[in-house]
Amino acid sequence: MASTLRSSGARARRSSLFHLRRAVSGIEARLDRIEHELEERPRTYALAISDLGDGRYTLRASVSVVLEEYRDEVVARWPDVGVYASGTTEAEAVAGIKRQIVELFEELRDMKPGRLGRLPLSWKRILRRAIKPSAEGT
Amino acid sequence: MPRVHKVGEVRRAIERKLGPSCFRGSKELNYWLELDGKKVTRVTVTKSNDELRVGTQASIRNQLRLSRQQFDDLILCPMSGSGYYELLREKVEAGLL
Repeated sequence: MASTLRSSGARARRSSLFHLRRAVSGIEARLDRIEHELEERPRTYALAISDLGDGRYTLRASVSVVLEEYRDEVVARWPDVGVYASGTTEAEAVAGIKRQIVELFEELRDMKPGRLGRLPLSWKRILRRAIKPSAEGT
Repeated sequence: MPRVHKVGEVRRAIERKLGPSCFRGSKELNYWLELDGKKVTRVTVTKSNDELRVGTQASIRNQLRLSRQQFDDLILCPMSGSGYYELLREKVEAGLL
């Protein structure tokens, strides 16, 4: 009788241990998923830039860029003109977005309006309002 | 979890399927995509050959105006260049581009 009770107790413990392990492994998988999802949801903040880091151009007013800080990179964007740049630090991303703004400005400057779709035309208008050649660069 | 592609795969898909005009920046390649002779969007891809990071990949996907699934399809082949431009045309006609 005692031995039957002991063995049924052991079976019950094994069964609870089995269920516990299964539950833990389910929790681990969910944590893994959440961790990956969090990696994709960056900390986001805005930063005003007041120069383009290029002696040839100046900004008429400061421009607000969006910074997204991921686990292993920082992405800077200026959504109004569709540019982005990334780096491992905020400084790299900001330097990159300034370079991208200048490159887009120069590319659009040399393109005829008739060759541009609605969006690039609006980028061109925004950039022409925001940037002027500096005396230093001329 | 999104699939993370290699930069080379993304560049190859854009260059071979979409036939963009390309401007070489100092650190990046800037591709212009045209529809009916007009430039409708611009995509920036780094010149390096590393694996893309999550934020950079999302940025390229946004510039291409694609969902995650559509982006994977473009890079991994099911989506052809003409299939991509059909999607782009729909967005232009809807006034989104």
